Order: sequence, then structure tokens, then C-alpha cells
Amino acid sequence: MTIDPERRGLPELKPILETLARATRALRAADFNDDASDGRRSAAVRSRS
Amino acid sequence: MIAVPTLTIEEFGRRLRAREITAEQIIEECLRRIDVDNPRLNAFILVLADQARRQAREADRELSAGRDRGALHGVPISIKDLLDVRGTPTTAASRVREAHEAERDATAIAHLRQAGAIFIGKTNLHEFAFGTTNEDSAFGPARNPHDPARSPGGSSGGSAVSLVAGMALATIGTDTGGSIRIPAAACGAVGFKPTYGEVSTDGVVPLSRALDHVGPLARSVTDAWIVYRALLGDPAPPPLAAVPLRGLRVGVPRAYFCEVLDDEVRARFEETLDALRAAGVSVDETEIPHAKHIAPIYLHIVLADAAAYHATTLESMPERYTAPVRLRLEMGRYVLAEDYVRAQNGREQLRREVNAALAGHDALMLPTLPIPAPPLGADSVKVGPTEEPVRNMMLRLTQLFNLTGHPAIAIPCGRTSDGLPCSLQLVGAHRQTEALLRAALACEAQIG
Repeated sequence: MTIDPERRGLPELKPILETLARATRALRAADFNDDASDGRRSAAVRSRS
Repeated sequence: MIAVPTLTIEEFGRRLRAREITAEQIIEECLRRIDVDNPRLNAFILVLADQARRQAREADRELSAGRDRGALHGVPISIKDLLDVRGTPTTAASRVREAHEAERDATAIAHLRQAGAIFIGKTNLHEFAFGTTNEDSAFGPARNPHDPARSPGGSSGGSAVSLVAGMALATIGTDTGGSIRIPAAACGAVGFKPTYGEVSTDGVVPLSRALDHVGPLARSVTDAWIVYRALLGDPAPPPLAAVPLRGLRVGVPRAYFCEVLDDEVRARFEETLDALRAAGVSVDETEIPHAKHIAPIYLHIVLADAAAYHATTLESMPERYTAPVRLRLEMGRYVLAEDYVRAQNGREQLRREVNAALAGHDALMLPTLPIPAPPLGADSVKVGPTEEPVRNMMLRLTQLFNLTGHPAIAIPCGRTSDGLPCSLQLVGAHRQTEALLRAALACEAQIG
């Protein structure tokens, strides 16, 4: 992800993408996400059904 | 002399119908204030002086002939330059839109026109509504009337300035993460975001269609009610009646929402709660268990939606965006589809949690902004040990209710020792918008 801004001539995008990467890590760590390893469904989906 | 900065729509309507004032007089006074103060506050991108004068004369003629269009008859209203007003450009405060001219009114604007409102001009905003400070605008920053070295908030910053500086009696903004409530809080006005989907966004330049709302900024809760009903197509709503404060049940989500607050903002908020308790309001604590995930969820949705809308112009005319907004839009092109889906799941989770927090309560109550209006040019702000980008701090307490679609209103609740406004936010149940406004009206009377 951080190589692409250089290639596109937008090096100032790199620190911003690091911010996005931190937010993505936080989002992926949330317990409402699906987990295929044990057949569980996300908390969000579970409480809908 | 007409005291426009304090004149409500309600009072203007009474005086208009008592023949103590005319629409032409109020328009002239607003235009005079624009002439005097707009050069330093930069609230307006376009002033519709001739058109407004014509509309005012027509409004006076109609009233003399016995035609009363309702509560907004002859009322000068400014419009965020993100909504189409026929025959004028909708710039979105961007050079990307240089060639634009609206052929017809946005649906919400058409409703206001039918209700007799007079459009005094198009107001400045953060470019494409993608920011909270109003600094990144092709027309330069709007400035806070309480301290022109500070931001008026955003993205509807010019709208809030036009209202507070007496250049209009009400103004129309849009709110995708707090863009009505944040400038209302920073400038000391009432700012109201209805339930998602209530007011049409047809003819409004989108930021994220999943999160965009249209609503009013006004001088009082009653005025916000009048404009909100007109936006829906109801030009003559019944008077708004306050609920009794005694017995009103309010939930305060302290965890996360009250953890990072400027000392004086915290003091005004706690004083407000004390005043409401003393009046018989039942205040207890509630929680949003996944609150710490609000910002990542919001970011992935708004970035991806905005990047999709701007994809073509990011390629064909990238130099026409202000640099910060261009970079933020570019950031959205790096959101993976799987993360967008995760964010949508998270949004569902948060919606259920806000509904659960509202169970047994008439409203949630929290500050609108964790800080007073920040200085223009500040990149970050420090609150206690926490230092965050200004944008993150300003969105912290409002963006949740764009994700969940609940109606929310910001009302003034005192000032800091520097004279900067503080704001209380009330949040109601889905589609119970009138009930929220009735509660807000009662609170406004107690803390005003």
C-alpha cells in the first residue's frame, strides 16, 4: 500500500495511508467480524437472526 | 434598526403579520450585514441580492393580498452551496464544479421555496463537505464570528456564520459526520440532523449517500422545527409543544463519549445535567459497548463512498481539488471491499447498541463537540494527555449518529471563559423526531 503513492507521484499520501492502515487494523480486530474457522457468524449477524 | 442576530423566525412571523415589519425590510437588513461583515467572515460564496429583493417584494405583495404561505413566508434563509438552487451554480466550494449551474431546485429547496422562504445566498463550506473546519475551500476559509482567528466548524461553516452574524434568520446545512451539529456547536446555534432518510437529499452533492442528511441551523429549537417541517413539505406546522421536564428520562453514555473533553466543555456539560436534574429530569448512565470502533467504521464507509463519487474527477482534474481534500479522497481508493463490508456489519452493530441505549430513555445526552472552536490552521488538538488530529476530535461525538441514522440536535449550553460556545447534543429514537424536538425545547427553556 505504501509503495503505490510513490509510483503515482503522491508521496504525501504515504502518512495518510498509514492512518488508514491503523484504522483498518482496528476494524479487523473487532469482535463483530465473521470468523470462518469455527463456523461462527459475526455478532452483528447473530443478533439479527 | 432590526436586531437580526437575535430575531427568531417565530418573532419575525408575528411582527410580519402585525404589519410591524416587512419582508423587504428584513432582507435589506440582512444584506446590510452581509456587506459589513462578509468580507471578514467569508460566510457566503454567492449573495443573491437582486433575486432576494424581488422575492421579498413579492412576499409582501402576497401577504397584503391575503396569501400567507406559512411560517417561512418572507423569511431570509441561506443555503449551503452543496444544494441545488435553480439558476445558480452549486460549487461545493470546489474548482471542480466551476462550470456547474443548477437547472432545478433540490427537492428540499423546492419545498422551502413553496413555503415562501427567500434565498439570500449560497454559503461557504469545507470543499465537497469533506472536512470539519471549513479551511479547505476554493473560496477561502469561513471564520468564526466569536473569534475570526478560529474555525466556525464544518462542513456547514459558512451557514453557521451567516446565521450567527445576522445575515439570515435560518440556514440549511448537510450532515454526514456532524456537519450541521459541529458548526452549530462551534458558533453557538441550534443545529438539527433529522432521522436518516426523512428529508430528501435529491439535488444535493453527496459525500456518502449512506450517511448524508439535510437539516436546519437556527436560533431556537422552535425555529429548527419550523424549517424542518418546511423541508419535508409542510409549510404550516402546528406549534411545537415542550414535554414536561419532570419525568423526562435521559441516558448519558459516559464511557468513550465523556472520556476526552476539554475542561470547560466538561464543566458546562455537567452544569447542564445538574440544572436538568434540578428541574426533575431523570439522568442515568448508559453505554455503547463498541464505541471505540466508531471512528474506524465511519472512516471506511465515508472514504470509500466519497472515492467512488469522485473517481472520475480525481483522474481528470486532480489539480482542481484543494490538496488536503484530494489526499483524503485518494485515501478512499485504498479501502478494500472486505473492509467496507466489515464496516457495514459494524454499523449494524452500533445501530442496535444505540437502540438499546435508548430503551427506557426519552433521549441520549452528550456534548456535541469535545473542544471549543479550534484555531484556524491547527493540525492537532491536545485534551489532557490525548493529542489527536483536529478532524478526529471534532467528529468524535457526532459521527455515530450518522452511522446509525438516529435524529440528533445540538443546542447551546453556555460558554468558555474566552466566550466560545459550548453545546449539548440530544439524540432520539428513529422516526421519533418530533418527540426529540419536544424534549430539546424543554431543555432549551431550562438551560437557555
